[in-house]
Amino acid sequence: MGSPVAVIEAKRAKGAMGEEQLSSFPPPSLDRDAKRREDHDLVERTRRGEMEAFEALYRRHSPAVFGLALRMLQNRADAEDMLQEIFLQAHDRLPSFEGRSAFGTWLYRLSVNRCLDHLRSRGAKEQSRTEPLTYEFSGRVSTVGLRGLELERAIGELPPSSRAAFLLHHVAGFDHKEVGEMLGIAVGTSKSLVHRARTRLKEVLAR
Amino acid sequence: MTDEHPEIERLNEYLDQGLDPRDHRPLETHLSRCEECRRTLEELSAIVHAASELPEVAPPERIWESIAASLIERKSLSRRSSRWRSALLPALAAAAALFVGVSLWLVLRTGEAPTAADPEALAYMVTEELKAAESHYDKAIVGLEQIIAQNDGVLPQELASVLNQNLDLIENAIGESRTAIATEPQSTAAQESLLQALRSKVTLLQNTILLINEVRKGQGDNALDLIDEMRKTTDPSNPI
Repeated sequence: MGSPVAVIEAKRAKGAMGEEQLSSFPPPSLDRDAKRREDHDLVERTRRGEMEAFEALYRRHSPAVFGLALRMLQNRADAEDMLQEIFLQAHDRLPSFEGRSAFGTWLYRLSVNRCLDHLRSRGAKEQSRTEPLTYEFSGRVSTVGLRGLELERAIGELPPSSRAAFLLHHVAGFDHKEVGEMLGIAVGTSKSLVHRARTRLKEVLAR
Repeated sequence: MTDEHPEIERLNEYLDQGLDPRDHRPLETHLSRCEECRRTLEELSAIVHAASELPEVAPPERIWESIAASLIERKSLSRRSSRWRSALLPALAAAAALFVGVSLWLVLRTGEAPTAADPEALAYMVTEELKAAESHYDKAIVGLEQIIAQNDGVLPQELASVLNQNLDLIENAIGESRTAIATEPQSTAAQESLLQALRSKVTLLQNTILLINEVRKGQGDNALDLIDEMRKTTDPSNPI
């Protein structure tokens, strides 16, 4: 047995707490309202300067935001930079978050618009800078299957606005009213963008 | 309608149940006769289904570390600047009284705030941040433990047992980390280990309270379903 620090370092090299992994203890099916209340509590605590509250918000929402950024930008390095920018900006803007919408909705709005801005500026520099998505999924891959991977690639061929509307509506699960508010477009336009996206995806997948 | 293929937009609307009800029957009649349109509808439907199954993606841990470092840096800079400003002002006044005409920039240079590149300053910052974070966590843990103690007996015995086993593991990790820090106060591994263990404990306690609330809310079958679902999700191979 080495020094206490050596013991710690050896354990950390093996994992969070060494071989003694904690049993999974997540709360089962927390309902949406409970999550929303918890988010608001975490937002309030973050406003009071509690770093761990902001970390909790990050842990809860970063997988969804990262998924959105990856699919929007189709480039892992850009998506990682974007995720960092989004959460730093969210932290800066929290004082202006009024809580009229759920924190997750507010964060998605910020995220998708940052991604669209990025694509617009990137489009001005270069027409296309996509790369195959090679990230690992955090969920159960078996539920995704080949169809999901094909779809991931096809999504990259959608125009940015259709891509955004499609991802917000069908992947994130927002209704057209919410998508419209996030993108600053009418409900009918959101529907139209999603329909166009589906039609285009069908064509791409049929190749 | 029955002989002409509908535009794909109408199939999209039909899929979203957004088609005018008067147009349903003619479209369905066409679909019953037209394999091509049926296939198109199935493909659109498959895309919708596959999209809803796309998973969230866990970002690499270094992203949070980078965000946290940026936030701490900002916080430290503002705190340090105020600390150094308050220390500097009397010195400036004394310098002005004693050495009239001496350039103030010399005084300012000696009183410059430490930068992150300065190892001593960095060590000081880390220690201060560690103390502040530890204090935050300790306060949170005390509060959470009080809530749980007030609800003793709410959780089923089996779950309470898993909870206690996890808490024991975390307590061991906290103890080992504190021992390591006592031996080598500047050890980053020991500091990170302590914060991680404290964070795990807070998370576990928070989740426990959420679970208590859920169990309290659940009645009859709902509560049984809840516990059943927990059993399924309690997989020893998964860490918190």
